[in-house]
Amino acid sequence: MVDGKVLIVDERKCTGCLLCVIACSVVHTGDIDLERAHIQVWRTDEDRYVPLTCHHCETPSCVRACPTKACHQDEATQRVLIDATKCIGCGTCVVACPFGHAHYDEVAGVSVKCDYCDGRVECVRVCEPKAISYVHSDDNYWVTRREVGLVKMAERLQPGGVLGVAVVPDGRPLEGELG
Amino acid sequence: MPQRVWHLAVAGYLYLAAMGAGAFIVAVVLDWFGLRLAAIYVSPIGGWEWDWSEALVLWGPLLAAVGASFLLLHLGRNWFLFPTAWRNLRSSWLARGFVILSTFIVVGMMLAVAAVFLPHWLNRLPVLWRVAQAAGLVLAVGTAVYTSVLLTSKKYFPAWTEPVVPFLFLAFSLSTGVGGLVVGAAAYRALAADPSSADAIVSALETAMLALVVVEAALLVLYVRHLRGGKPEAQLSATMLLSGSWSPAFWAGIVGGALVLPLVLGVFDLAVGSDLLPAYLLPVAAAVGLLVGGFLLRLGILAVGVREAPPLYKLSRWRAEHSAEPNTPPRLAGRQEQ
Repeated sequence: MVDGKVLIVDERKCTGCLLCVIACSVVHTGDIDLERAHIQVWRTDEDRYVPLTCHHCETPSCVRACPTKACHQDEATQRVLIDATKCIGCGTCVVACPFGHAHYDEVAGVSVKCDYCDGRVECVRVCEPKAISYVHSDDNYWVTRREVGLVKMAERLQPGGVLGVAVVPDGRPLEGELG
Repeated sequence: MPQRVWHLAVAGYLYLAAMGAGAFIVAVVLDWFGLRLAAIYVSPIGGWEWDWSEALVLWGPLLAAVGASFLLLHLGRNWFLFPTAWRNLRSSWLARGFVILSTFIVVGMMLAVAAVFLPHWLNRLPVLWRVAQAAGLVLAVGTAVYTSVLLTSKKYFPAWTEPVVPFLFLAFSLSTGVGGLVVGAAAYRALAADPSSADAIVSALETAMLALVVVEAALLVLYVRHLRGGKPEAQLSATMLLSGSWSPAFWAGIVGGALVLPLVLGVFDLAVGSDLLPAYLLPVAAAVGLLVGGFLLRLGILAVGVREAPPLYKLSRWRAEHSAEPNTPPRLAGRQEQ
């Protein structure tokens, strides 16, 4: 996170307009080339859209897999970054990322990923439905992350069942119920 | 959608490195059992004698070096920084593999060069030669294991993480090494004045090939069964292999070339014999099928690797399946809508 902020995606609001991808591509490459943008939008089988950004994991798989340490975690900001001058373009980080985020830029010959643009996140500015937000890492962040956990729990329960009580990192209990 | 990052060059790299290591392992084991080709001495410089028969056996490290060059082809802009790929030994399998493979290539090629160019010295130092062979063998085993577990270490591709995959690759690294040595023995027969020493080696290699092919067939069946009963992405990979875009390579190349052909020809040659055919025709044909199929296996498993859906993708899919109306999230006490 930069200045205690994180990028949050609410895929329910995403319309698949790809403005974020275009803006990201322009910022990072100076051109409109959707393949080279650091943010990507996946289309699901149900015709929904899922913007994929880096989660800057606490124990990042991409950092663990990188042989040259080009992919590293910044000590000050905890951001996961790729040093293009050290990257050899082996693609290991790409296949290691559980979120399918890091990808190989064929023009640059190196792996690229979201770096929060040093806090000037253009994708957030252009997203009209506000599917992407850049917020302080408060409870909302954890609620969003918890929803992902709820899916796993829901797979074991019938729809409408009570999911029980979970505990968010600050120790406050959070009850959830499937609608 | 299957991944496109690791494809032809990586398959070539893993295949050649594994085959080179497998060939070295089998060659050293054969030597330890007393099965070695009779020397073919040439002396192009004065009285210095070179033994070319060893070059037909100990070519594994050279093949691994050729494989490593395939990896260089795969790299992007900073390929010249390849020597820095050892910095993350603590957690990166690619870094570990870089060290293991590089050491194997250097040590193995030193052994091969010594065997070819200094044969009489080695005859005088049998213990030292055995120790050097053992060191090379350990590194070759390490290389074969590395090329087998590299894909398994990528946790989010169900087709790669099946527990049977490392064993399948390990078996194929040995069998393709055996196949390469059969071709080397056939070349020896064409070059040597007295090729009789190759007969015992080819016979042993044929038996080893048959045993490995049976093991590989069992492992392949297990692999496909696991895929078909696995996660949706694994099932998609199985479909691609069995009836999709990779089915011709799977059925004709892997099953036909690498399993059925060596099995049929090997059994026929050992049981009936092939006196009417040119010498080594059946073992070489079986070896070629095995070599082609072994490469297609690496390429095929790489190509049908489908990444697991990211968590947010799963969440969206789950919402679509369980919500009465579109875009209705699960109710969460304490959640504030933005």
